[in-house]
Amino acid sequence: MMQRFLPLGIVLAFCLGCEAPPTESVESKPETIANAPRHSPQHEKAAGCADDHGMAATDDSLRKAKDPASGTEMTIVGSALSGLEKTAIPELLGKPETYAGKTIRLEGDVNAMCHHRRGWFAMQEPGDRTGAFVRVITNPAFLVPPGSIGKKVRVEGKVDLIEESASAARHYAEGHQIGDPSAIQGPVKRVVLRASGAEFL
Amino acid sequence: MRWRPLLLSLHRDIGFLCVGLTIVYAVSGIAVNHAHHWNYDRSETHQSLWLGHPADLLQNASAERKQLVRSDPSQMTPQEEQTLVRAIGEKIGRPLPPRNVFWRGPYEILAFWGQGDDDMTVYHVSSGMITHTLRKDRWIIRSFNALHLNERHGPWTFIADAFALLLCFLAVSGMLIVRGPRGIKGRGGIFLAIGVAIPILALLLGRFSP
Repeated sequence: MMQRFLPLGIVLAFCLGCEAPPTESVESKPETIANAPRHSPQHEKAAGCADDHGMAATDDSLRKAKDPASGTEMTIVGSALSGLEKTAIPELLGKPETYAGKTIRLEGDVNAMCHHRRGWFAMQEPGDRTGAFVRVITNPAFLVPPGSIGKKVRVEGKVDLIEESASAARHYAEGHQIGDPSAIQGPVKRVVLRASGAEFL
Repeated sequence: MRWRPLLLSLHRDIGFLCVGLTIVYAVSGIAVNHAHHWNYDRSETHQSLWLGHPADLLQNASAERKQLVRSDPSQMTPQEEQTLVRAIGEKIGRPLPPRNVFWRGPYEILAFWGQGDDDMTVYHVSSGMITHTLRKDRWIIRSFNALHLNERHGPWTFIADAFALLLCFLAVSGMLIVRGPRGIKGRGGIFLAIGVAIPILALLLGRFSP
């Protein structure tokens, strides 16, 4: 009797997350592929980072170099910076329509990033105490190097004005501590930069 | 030609071949499936400690400045901020100066002592509390995820494609190897139907639920 139901027990155990012997795990393997996180519904339902879906970015472009100005080691990702003149973040946030669709360069401190999929980071003006930030979407150009919060960054990209859903805005405010969660009453208009390349140091 | 023994041999050999990759993909699959529950790339430990109000930590400041900082900590000058961060660093035993310091809004000062955010202190200026966060890479899961998510592209794309095809082969051959009442025409068929029904049902429920 025991022998009769042993295979069923093994299959059930595998379904619940235990490791099954190779002969029984065959049927479950395609499900592992189907669980590929690129379209993770759980992350979306948890109002996760909206830019993570359909990730095309890779670490291919990641390279190290010495920053000529400070001599410190920096991590370069995406396309090389073209040397545009720096735009101040308060200036960008103050006149977003002026910059919409334009390629600009921002410099500042990284105050948040997507730890899971590394599809975006947020930055603020050095010395700023207001909590004003710009979210930089790096997917599909590159992945944010792990552990970038607290680093200085120089980034170039195209300015985009988007409407963030309330749940996404709340996720960024509560989960990533950027923005005031109590101020979010509905969809939020945001200035984002769609990055082409960046230097983290 | 007797195809079943050939299929069995192929299923066995390919099964052994796929063990390593299956474990990599399965572990990473579980890790990323719970992305909303934990940071699967890095472990985090948090410690909270009360250090005192900024005005109390600015020992050499004048009474007038202390009073101003007490009523509105965001009025601190950059020099006072530097003194405050030095006091924080000394109290918690961190090397000075920190690698980077900035305010996250008007109520929090962030100080970074190590590389990136490995060793980070958030000082809450209104309460005088610090939250200290230490982060470490989960390098095994991190490496598994890099393969699963194909973060490097290149030749791994072809290896991952080949692995997916081999999994399909294992699934199909597994159905055909066993004959009789335990095979596809018997209890195997019931399991097959359940296995096929689960994703279809999930899709249907996902489509028609509000």
